[in-house]
Amino acid sequence: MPKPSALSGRLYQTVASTKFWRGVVATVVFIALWEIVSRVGISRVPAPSAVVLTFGDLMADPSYWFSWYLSMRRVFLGFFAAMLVGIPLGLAMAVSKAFYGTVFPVFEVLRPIPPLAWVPAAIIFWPTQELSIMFVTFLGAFYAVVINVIDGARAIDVRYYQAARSMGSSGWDIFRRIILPGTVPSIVVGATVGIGIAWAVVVAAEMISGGGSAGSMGGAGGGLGFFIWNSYVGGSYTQIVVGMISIGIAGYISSALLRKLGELATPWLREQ
Amino acid sequence: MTVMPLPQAPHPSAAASAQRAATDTVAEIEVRDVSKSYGAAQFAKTVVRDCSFTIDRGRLTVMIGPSGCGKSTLIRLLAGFERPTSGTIRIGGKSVTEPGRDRLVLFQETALFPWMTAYDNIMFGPRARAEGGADARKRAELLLDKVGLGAFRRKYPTQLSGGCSVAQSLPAR
Repeated sequence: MPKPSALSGRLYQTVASTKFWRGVVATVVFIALWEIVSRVGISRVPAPSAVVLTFGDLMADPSYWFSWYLSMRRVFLGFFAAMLVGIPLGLAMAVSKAFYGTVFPVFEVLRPIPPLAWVPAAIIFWPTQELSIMFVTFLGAFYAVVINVIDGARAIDVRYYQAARSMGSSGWDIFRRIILPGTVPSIVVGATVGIGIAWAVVVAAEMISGGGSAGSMGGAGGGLGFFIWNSYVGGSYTQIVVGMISIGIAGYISSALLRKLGELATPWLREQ
Repeated sequence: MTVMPLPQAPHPSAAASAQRAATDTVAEIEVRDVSKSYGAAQFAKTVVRDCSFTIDRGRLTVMIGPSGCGKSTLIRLLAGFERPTSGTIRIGGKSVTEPGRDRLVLFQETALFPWMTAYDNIMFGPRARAEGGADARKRAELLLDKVGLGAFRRKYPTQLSGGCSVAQSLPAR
């Protein structure tokens, strides 16, 4: 008889656990209550059975998947830009008091401005609506990344610097072999938080901006946020719920991907 | 934390032996009128005041004292992690102004870099000094085997037991 693999072993343990079945029962009860409440007319929220049927119809609709593509593109491009700019900026602020003193006050004045408040300005200042939406998702992730990088670099134990200096490390060596790897866990945290904010922002940005240039083509082609808004305007309440669940799934996939990348980048933090 | 001046290479000639005999009587560590204060002006707190002592080469010296009496501060000054507010510290005739390779520092708690394997921790110093060639790599392997961690060279400090981490601290320094 072949030995069970580690994955099947973990799967069996999960499925056999009380915690798993508690979660399943709670979810089933929730869906059942939702179905009952909708059917007896207590609220206008569409029943889950109707949502599932609509979901089935949309799965065959290319414009629905195009909405997915648009939102994911806007989130990931804005997010990557936030990482490309935010990580070096955070590290520079962490290692240089002069740089920190110059840049941080401006950073802290801009940070409380909600990214969505930038939408009208972004539409005016950027040449295309796509860029303006991506700018807003960039802002959503940017501040979280920078703050986590600064705090992560500063939290590195001073003993590591002392040990490195006592072994003859130069400033650049310390930066490359102490500060950079020591900050990776915080970068992962900042990235995970940042992408969540980027998703929250992109949906609203797509609603406000009318889905960007793709939204002007009508239908569901303006991203998931525009899809939800369009469904509301069109009176399709089941599509609204499908849109919301889709965003939840998309956000979960993004965070799970980042968590996995984070695990690969921090092998020393893995459980043994 | 412990600071140990590293031994110098033996002199080969008779004249050099005589010179070595003479220098053997010279203090290896010399602390003269060292004071250390933290904070500025009237808010300064003096932790070490007018401390002077000498430690000859080859002697094991232990500092004991109540908590907060300045032992760790003195050790950090000897290691070069901080500079005295006044006074001088000389080791082997040279003034101590910064950390250096001429002193081995063992930390009370292990200062192994968590993001490096046991092997990479040992190779940190040689690589920092651009001395990470084949000889250094071979020596790192030997040191790991010597402290019984040869099988754990690819493990991270978080994956080692407390005793193994301590055992690895010495060759890493």
